[in-house]
Amino acid sequence: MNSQKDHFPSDERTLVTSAQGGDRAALREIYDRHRDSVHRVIFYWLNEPLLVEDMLQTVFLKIYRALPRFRFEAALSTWIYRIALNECLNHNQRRRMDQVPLDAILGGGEELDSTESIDDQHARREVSRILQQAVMDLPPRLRAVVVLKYVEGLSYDEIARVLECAPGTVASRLSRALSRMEEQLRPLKNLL
Amino acid sequence: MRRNLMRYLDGEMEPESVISFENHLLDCGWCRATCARLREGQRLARQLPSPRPARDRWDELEAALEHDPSSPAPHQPAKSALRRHWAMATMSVIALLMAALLITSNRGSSEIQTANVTDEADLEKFQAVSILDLPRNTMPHVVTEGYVSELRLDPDGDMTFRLVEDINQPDPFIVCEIIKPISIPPPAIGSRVRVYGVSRYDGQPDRQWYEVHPVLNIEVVRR
Repeated sequence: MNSQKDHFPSDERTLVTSAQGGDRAALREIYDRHRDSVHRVIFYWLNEPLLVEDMLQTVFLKIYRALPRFRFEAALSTWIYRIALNECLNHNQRRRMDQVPLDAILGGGEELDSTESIDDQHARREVSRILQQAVMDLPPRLRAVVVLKYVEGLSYDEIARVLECAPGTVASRLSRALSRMEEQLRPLKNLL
Repeated sequence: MRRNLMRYLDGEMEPESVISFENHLLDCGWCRATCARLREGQRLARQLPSPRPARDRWDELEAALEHDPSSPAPHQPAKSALRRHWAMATMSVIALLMAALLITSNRGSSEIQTANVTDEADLEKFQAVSILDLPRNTMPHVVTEGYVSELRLDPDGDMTFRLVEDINQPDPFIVCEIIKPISIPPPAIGSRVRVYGVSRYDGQPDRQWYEVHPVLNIEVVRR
C-alpha cells in the first residue's frame, strides 16, 4: 500500500494536528465532515435508529481516542472508515442481530403481484427497507464492499485501502455480493 | 473472469483493456449472462438508501469528551487560571525588565548588555520543571534543562532554540526565546543547558508549543 504521507492535503493535516492538540473546534470540524459517512456505514449494520445513533457516538469517541496515534499514513477518511467498520464488525460478534431475514419478507419465493397498488411513499420506504435488508443479509466482508462502493462511492483503490486488501479482492467480493443480491431479490425484480 | 466483469461494470478497467474485453463478451455467452446478472445486482445496489442522522449530537459527544480522560484534552489550563498565569507572567517580565534597565542605567550604559539572573537568591525563585512536565506547570518562573537541538534567528532579531530531553529524539521539546532587548549568548547546538525564564504556552492553529519566553539566563551544563 502506498504511503499517503506526502499527499496529505495541507488543510486536513492542519485540522488533524489541531485536533490532536485537543482543539475542540477542530474536533467538531472532523465530526461535521465525517458524521454522515460514518452514519451511513453504521446504518447498514444496525437495524434500530437509536442503536445507530448510539453507535455513531461510540465510533467518534473511538476516533478521538485514537487520534493522537494517527500518523498521516492514510487519508483521514480511510482511517475513519476503518474504525467505523471495525466497530461494526465487533458489534456483530458481541450480539446476535435481531433482524428479519429477507426470506421471511419474500415468503416462499413465488412471484409477488406487482400490479397491487400501494401508496408511493410507502412503496419507496418498502423498497429501501428491502434493499437495506438484502445488504444486511450479506456476510460482513461482502456487505462492507457494497456499502463502501455503492453508498459511499469509493473507488476500488480507496476501498482496498480501507479494508487493507488488494483491489482485485474488492472486485471479487463485489461480484459475489451483487450475485447474491440479484438472486435473492429476483422475485421482486418488477418492484425494485 | 468475474473480477474483470466487475471492474468493467464499475468503470474500473484500464481503458486499453475495455475494447478487447467487450470483444470477448461478444463471443462468450457465459460472460454475457454473468454480466447481465451482475448489472442487475449493480442496479439494485445503486438504489440503496443514504440516510442522514436524525439530529446533530455534537453536544452530547462533547460532553462525553469532557469526561473521557483518554481523548485529546485541550493543553490549556482553565481559562481563569490561564488568565492569572498570563497576568503574573507579564508582570514578572515587566518587573525584571525594569530591574534590568535600572541596573544598566546605574552602570552608565545606554544598552542592556545582559539580563542574566546571577543572584542566587533570584535563582531560587525559579521552579525546576522537566521538559515533559512543562505543560502541567502553573508557575511563571521556571528553570528547565535539556539539549539544544535547533537554533534560529528570527527576522525580528530574536534568537530561538529548541530544547529536547533526548538529543536523539525530536519529542518532547520546548521552544526557548531570547528576545530583545535581553541579550544572552545563544547556546551551542548539542550542548546541555539549564534555561531560566518565563513559562509560556503558544497556541496557534498550526502548532501548540510550550515555551520559555523570554529566556532570562542560560547555564551550560555540558558542551
